[in-house]
Parts: sequence; C-alpha cells; structure tokens
Amino acid sequence: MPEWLHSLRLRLRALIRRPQLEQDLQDEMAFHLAMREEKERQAGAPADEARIRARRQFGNVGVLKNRTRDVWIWPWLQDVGQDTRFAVRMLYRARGSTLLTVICLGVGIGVSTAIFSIVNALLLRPLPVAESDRLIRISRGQETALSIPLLRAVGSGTRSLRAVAGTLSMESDLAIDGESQFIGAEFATANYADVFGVRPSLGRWFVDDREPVAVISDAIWERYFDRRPDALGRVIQSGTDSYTIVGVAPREFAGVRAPLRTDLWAPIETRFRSTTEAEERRLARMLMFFGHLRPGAHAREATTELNTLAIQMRDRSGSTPEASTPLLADAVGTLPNPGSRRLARTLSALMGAVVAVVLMIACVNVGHLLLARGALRQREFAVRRALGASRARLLRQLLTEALVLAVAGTLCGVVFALWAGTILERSLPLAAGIFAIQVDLSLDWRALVFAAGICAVTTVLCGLLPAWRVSGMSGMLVAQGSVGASARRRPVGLVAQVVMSLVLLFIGASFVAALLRLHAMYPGFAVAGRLYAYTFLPSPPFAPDSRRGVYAQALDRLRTLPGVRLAAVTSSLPLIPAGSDCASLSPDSPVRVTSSAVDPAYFEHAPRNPGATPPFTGAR
Amino acid sequence: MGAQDKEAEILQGTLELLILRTLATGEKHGYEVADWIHTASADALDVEEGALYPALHRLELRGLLAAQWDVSANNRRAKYYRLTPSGRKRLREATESWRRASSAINRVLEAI
Repeated sequence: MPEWLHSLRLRLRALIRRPQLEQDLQDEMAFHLAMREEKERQAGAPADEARIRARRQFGNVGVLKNRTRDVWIWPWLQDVGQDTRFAVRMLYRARGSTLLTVICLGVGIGVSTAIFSIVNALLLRPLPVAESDRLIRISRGQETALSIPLLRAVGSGTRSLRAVAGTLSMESDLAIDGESQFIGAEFATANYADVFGVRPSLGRWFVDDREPVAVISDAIWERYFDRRPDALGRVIQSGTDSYTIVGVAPREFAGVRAPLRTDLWAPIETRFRSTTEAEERRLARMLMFFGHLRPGAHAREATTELNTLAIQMRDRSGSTPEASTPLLADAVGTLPNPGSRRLARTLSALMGAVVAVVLMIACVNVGHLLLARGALRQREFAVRRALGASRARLLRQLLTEALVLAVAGTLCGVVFALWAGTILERSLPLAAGIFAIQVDLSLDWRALVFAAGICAVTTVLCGLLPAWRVSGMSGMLVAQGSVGASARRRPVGLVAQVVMSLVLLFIGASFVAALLRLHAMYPGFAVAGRLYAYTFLPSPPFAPDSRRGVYAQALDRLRTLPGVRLAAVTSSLPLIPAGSDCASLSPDSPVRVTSSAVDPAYFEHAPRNPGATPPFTGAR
Repeated sequence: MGAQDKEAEILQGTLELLILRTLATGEKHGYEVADWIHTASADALDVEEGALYPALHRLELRGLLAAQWDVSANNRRAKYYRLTPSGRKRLREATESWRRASSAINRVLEAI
C-alpha cells in the first residue's frame, strides 16, 4: 500500500473514532508520567517532588497532546468541525429565522434543480444507449443523405463505420385488439438495434428488413399487455400491415424522435412495399441515417469516407450529377433529431436565465435575513474581537453558518426538486398533445453536482457580504452601543432585490401576454368556432380505394348535423405539418416544402380576398 | 520562545532517526523509548520527553512504525511501537545520510 493511502486510512479511522483517539492520547501520556514518577520515587524523591519532576521532564501535557492530535487530524478540519458545531447551535437558537431561511433557499434551489433536470434530460445526458459517444448522425443539409443503393453499400460497415442504419420516423396508427391510436413509429433497417446498441428488455429485435414483426415500446407493453411476457407473438396492425410482436424496447430508449416517444419499431421494407412509388420517394426523403464508429475512428473520417463513396457510386451509376451539399457525419450526443436539439437549446437558454434570477432573489432574501441576524449579534462579535479573534476568524465562522444554512436549504431543495420532477413528468403528456413525450427527469449525478454547485454559490453570495460587514465592525463602536452604523448601506441590496423581482415579474408577465396575444392573433386561418378531430382508417378492412368514400360519407353526414356549417378533411393541420416534400421551380434548386392533402371545403376555413376563387374545387 | 526551543527544533529531525534506531532493538512503549535514548546517550541528549509523542505518532501515521495496545510489565495499559519493514528501510537510509552529513561537518570543523 502506498504511504499516502496508508496515512489516509489511519487519518479517517482517527476521525471516525475521535473519542477513542482522545482516550488513547490521555492514557499513553498518563502512563508515561506514572512510569517516570515511579522511577523518581525509587530514586528517593518524595511523592510530591517525584510528580513535579516527572511533569517537568515531560513538558506541557496539554500542548503536547494538541500537537499529537494535530498529527492525526488536520488542524483545519478540527476548526471546521468546531465552527460547524457552533454554527448549528447558533442557528438552532434562532429557529424561526433559520426555518424561514432554509425554506427560502429550498424553494430557490429546488426550482433551479428541477429546471436543470429538464436541461439535463434534453441537452446533457447522453442517449441511453451503449457507447453513445460513437453514435453519429449522417445528414446532407435538407436533402436525403444516402440513396437506398448507397445505404445498402455502407450498411454493413466501412473502414471507419461499423454499421450504418436508416430509419423512417413517422406518425402512424397502431391497432391492438381493435383499439387504435396515433403513435410515433420507426421503420428501420435490421441493424438499427446494433447501431444504437439497444437491447430489448424482452424478446428480440427484428433481424430482417422484410419480416412482418415489430418491437413495441415499454409504455405500449405496459398499457396494453400489463407487462405480461405473452405479449410476444401477439399480432398488431399499423398502416395497412399486420405485425407480430417479437420484442419490447427498453423503457429508457425513446427512439430517434426523442423527446417524443416512438412506440413501434418495424422493418423498413414493410413500410416501403405497401406504398405507391410516389409515396416511396417521399418517404425516402424522410429517412434518417445513423452510424456507429469503429473504435478509434472519428466522425471526420466517416464524413470523408462517405462522401468519397457517394461520389464513386454516382459516377458508376452514370446519373447526372445533381447540385448537392456534401454529406456530414456528426456526433448524436443527446437528441438524435437536430430540430429537437435546436428547440431544446433555445428552451434551455431561456430557462437558464429564469433559474439565475430566481436564485439571485433567494440569495438576496437570505442575505438580508443573515444581515439582520448579524446585526443582533454585534455585541457577541465585538466581545470576540476584543478577546483577540481576528476578522478572518469571525468571517470564517459566519461563512460556516451560511454554509450550514445552504446545505440545509439544498437538501430541502433536492426533496422539492424530486417532487417537482414527478409533477412535471406527469404533466408532460398534456404539453405534447397527441404524441407521447418521454423525458427522464430523475435527478442523476449531474443534477446533484449542479445542486452542490448552487449550494456553494449561494453560500458565497448570501453569506459573504453580511459576514464581511458584520465582522468588520469596530469592536469599540459596537461595545459602546452605536449599533447599526452600516444600516444606511442596506438599501443597495434591497434595491437589487426589488429590481430582480421586477425583472422576473416582467418576464412572467410578457409570457402571459404573449400567450394571450397568440390566442387573439389571427394565424392566417379561422380558428373561432372550429373543432378538429384526429381520425384514421385502419386497414383491413378499409382498402386504400374505399377510404375516399368513407371520408366523403363521413363529411356528408357531418354537414347535415345541425350547427355544423362546414366540414373538411386534411392530412395535417395548419402549423402542424405531418410530412415534408420537395418542390422545385427550376430543376437545380429543390426546396423543401410541407404538404397537406386537403379537400376543397378546407379552403372555406382559409382567409381569402373577397371574391377570389378557392385554389381548387373538385377532388382529382 | 527561546534558544532552548530552537535546539529542540533542530533535534526534531534527528529525533525520528533516534526513535527508529531505538525501536530497532525491539518493541517498546513511549517511556521505554525515552529511557533508552537517555541511557544510550549517557544522559547527553536531554530531550523533553513529551516531544517524543508527536514524533512517534507521525512515524506511525507514515507507516514506519506499527503500534499496538498491550499490558505492560506492571500490569498497566500501554501502547507498544515496533518497526515495520518500511521503517527498517527508512532507518538504514537515514543512518547512512546522517553518517555522511556528520562526517562532512566534522571535516569542515576540523579543517584549519
């Protein structure tokens, strides 16, 4: 064992068994004195004289005991222990204000930690997959990154990539036992699980791009199958296909649309073969590609390699070179979807600002409480200074008190954050609308480190100024009774507090105002008196051809209902695009647009210049 | 703080060497160590006996000594110290460097 480790072990033991150490020191030195005394007596000294000689020979027992104790327990640690004990006693004596302070800090730190846990879940915590640092996303600006032939060519690995998977993330329907609902689904290549390092918590992942099998999410497993293992082998429907359940994805894995939850994973070909060619081209543009780097390989190498391969493939196929941005492979990090990532960043910056202000207000509040308490204790500090305590010593004492408060506040805050986290997690589905959202807001080590950091910051922020002021007061002045000489300076803190409260109030008010404005704003389409409902027709029994009839019938019936003036059908609501497409005005500048299939009545809801004709009138 | 204190301070570094040397003759408690140093130096080294203890404990903390509570010859509880293998090694090295230093100093003092 290295010497320092041995020492540390002994030091810790001494620290834990402090009373034992004291007893041993006492016994050891008493034994020495007794032996020496005995020897002096044997040499003929009288009993009193023998004791005095033994003591003289030994030296100052108290001092030597202290020096020996210092060998075991670092002197600074002894001071900290002493300060802490004293601080706890002082805080206990002023229970009322201590409780108030702790609650104030607890709420401040709790809110901050709860908000941090959101940022943590969205931006900091890596994707819950094996070797998440080697997972990369392959993209090409707004275009399809890899053509299907290229995906086939690189799927089973290249020099820098172990495997490349493609996945089509889309909204779909899922029917289980006749009950159907909207879900997020992914149609992926068979090596998807391998690339993401996802191990099903039950059953297996699909191994073939064509087999009609599916993996369901933990949430679906719980909701429809009560977590029973006999869910495997059950048949479910999605789109026009039936799938046999072969596996259940681990609970923490939400898929590539995170924080929106994917509920169904099925082989890619099962989706492609069931659609028309035009639809297939559209779907291919929505594919997302992910790769898993070989050990030691870097995303930059993968980028270079993939671009080279893409150019080779294009040359070989002899197709005309199209204007295209080069491929880019970059680390996935926390959220696979770049859109979600951008949104999460904006959201986090906003929330970070709110956290800072909340925390500042809590600190200023607590600082004032401490200052007020310090003012009451000026006599105590005056006496201590008169007795020779240095300013640094008093400062340390006061900071220790602030630290004890901050630690208590942080513990209180962590409990608060745990509670707030569960509430938030429960209310998330409300925010996400019809799609399930899955964010893990549990407090992990990052959140705890954050809380500890905040604890340290609050200690300094709310403890330092009052401590500096109180400890700096002249002992004489205070003893004579001219207390409160510094009271005139207090308004500075007060002003800061009011300013920050106002800022927070203003931010809150402007959010509410924005919300009200959004409600009042005319979004370009009529919203008053409009209702919408999501629906879809499972197939079988509704073949694609019969669907139009079904919808037409439904619309006719809706229109005859009393109170219904108009009824229309669309594939997506305004502002909530369901899919994207490419349109081009000239051959070399494809533009990404979102498209909706609508029926003519839809435009009755849209604003038009009076007298203008609707864009189209009949179904084609 | 006087001249005596300074002398004791100079002794401090060598005190550890003396303790290691003393314990090389076998397991001893603090009092025996003090006594042995007195006797061996023919009472020339008049150490403040209590100063032994910080030094003993420091050596124990560094793993050069191992300590154990036992019952002494006169039936009292006493703490016994003995050299560990690394203590023995340290004693060899310290003795060697002490010899070198003291002979060098001697040469300087005796130079004309």
